[in-house]
Amino acid sequence: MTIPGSSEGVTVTEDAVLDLQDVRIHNDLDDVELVHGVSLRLGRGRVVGIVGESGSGKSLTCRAVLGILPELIEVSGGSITLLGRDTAGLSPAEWTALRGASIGAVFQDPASYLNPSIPVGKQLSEVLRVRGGLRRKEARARAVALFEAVRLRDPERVYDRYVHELSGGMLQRVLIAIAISLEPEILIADEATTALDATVQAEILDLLAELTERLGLALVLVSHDLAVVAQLCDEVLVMRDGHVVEQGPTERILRAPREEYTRLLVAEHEQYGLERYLRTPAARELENV
Amino acid sequence: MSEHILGIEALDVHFGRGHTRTQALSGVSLRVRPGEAVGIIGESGAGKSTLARAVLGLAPVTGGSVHVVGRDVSRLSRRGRRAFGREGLVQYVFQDPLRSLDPDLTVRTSVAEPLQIRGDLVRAEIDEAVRRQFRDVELDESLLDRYPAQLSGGQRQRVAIARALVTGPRLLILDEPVSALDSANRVRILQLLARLRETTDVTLLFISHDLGSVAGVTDRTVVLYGGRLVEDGPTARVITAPEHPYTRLLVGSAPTLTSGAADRAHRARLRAELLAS
Repeated sequence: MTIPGSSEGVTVTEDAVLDLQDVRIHNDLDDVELVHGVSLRLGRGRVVGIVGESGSGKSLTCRAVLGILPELIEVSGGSITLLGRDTAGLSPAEWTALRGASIGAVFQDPASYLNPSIPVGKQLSEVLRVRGGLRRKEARARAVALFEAVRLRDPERVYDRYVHELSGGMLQRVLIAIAISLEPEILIADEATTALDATVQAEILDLLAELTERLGLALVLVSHDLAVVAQLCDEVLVMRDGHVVEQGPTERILRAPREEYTRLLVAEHEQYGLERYLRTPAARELENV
Repeated sequence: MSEHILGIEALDVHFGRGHTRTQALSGVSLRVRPGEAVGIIGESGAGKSTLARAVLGLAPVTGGSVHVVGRDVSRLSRRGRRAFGREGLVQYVFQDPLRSLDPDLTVRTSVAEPLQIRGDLVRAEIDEAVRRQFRDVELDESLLDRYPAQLSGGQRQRVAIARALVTGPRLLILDEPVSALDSANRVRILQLLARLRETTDVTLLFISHDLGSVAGVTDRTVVLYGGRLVEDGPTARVITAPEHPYTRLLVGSAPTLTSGAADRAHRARLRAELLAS
């Protein structure tokens, strides 16, 4: 079902948990606009992808949504509505209350978001005690349950491990467990699988897909690789130099990219990737003609 | 063995000693003919870089042998290794071109350096070879007097490839050469390597953790897993009909544009198979 006036071909069946309207981001120091208008609507349990290279503005957009833009960089136009609430006038205290509880995030380098001198399980139960109001024992039990939910093998043992004792894939699972611990509606994964081995990347993507289905989590999946985004997303935004060059349902973007840059991203896979030996939607389309 | 540019026989490599002694490669055999382009795939720790170092005569070989252009490089003396390096028969391109280029030298000097070290050309000949090589990698000659920091990542990687090719090596080892580049530059480098294969008989060893990034420019793929060579075949066959459980999982895990190439349940089965193997 397509609602007239909604963004091209994407079904909107419920209220959006995240709604961006023409978001612009400005660097006040150099007086330049860095992001020139991003619009997207994300429904509960849905997945939207943002594809772009470094400098495309994809990470700045994520940071604006999380209220963690660097100093002197600010949202200069448009609106960001989180769970029906305009974020423009939020105070730092209100942002802090919102992050974790309503919106969580995971990034590329999980180790740098954890304290190396405290066991990882304790760092999670700390969040559950301070932010979730759980008692010490409850927090520990809940932390172990969350580690199990993100498919960490032997969660009791992982609880007492330090950062240096875990692999990159395990650390990213720990970060995902922390990000979803306060049961947010929205999760942002910004290049969260980029530094991982191919098989581990697929494990993390599978976990994210499972969490969206099981918990109704809405996901913003950000990657430089169109194929990573294509695995999970209903809708894709392709960004370059702060512009959204193309936006639409994933299937349409892959089958019939309209912009030259998107065609390059697709062609790269078809010529040089595994797709050379497998059938892509574009190839199937040709066969059907 | 002379028809092979590279002949690796039952290669063992160990690092460390005593209770920290670990085996990085176990019984790896690989023969490569001139002009072949071979992808070497594996996860971190699988032994890819150790294998590359062994080909360069830089790994502590504890068993087996490595022959490059008919010469045993597995047990070279320090002096022998230096002489072998000077000839420039084997060259190496890193993922990060900043590692193969000296930041304090203009790229002209960097590209000329391997020829100066070999020492068989006069200055004018070297200069001409550098210009020709620059054109071959599609770099404008106006960039010759820049420093690496004044070039984009894609340009730097082309300079690194120019430097590697200037001695006319028989074997070029590329270690994740496109992983750090954006799409447009990735495509240019891959096109460049594809053309290199058409115009020369240089042999390529293409190291990557990711099957997808080398599928388009290799005609053969070998897979390392836990220090062992577990799969070796034509790239098309390895991708469409992988034999080893790890390769099957790797193919099933590669993100592709084909919708439903492998689904979650399928991957879960592949993981279970690998654990059981």
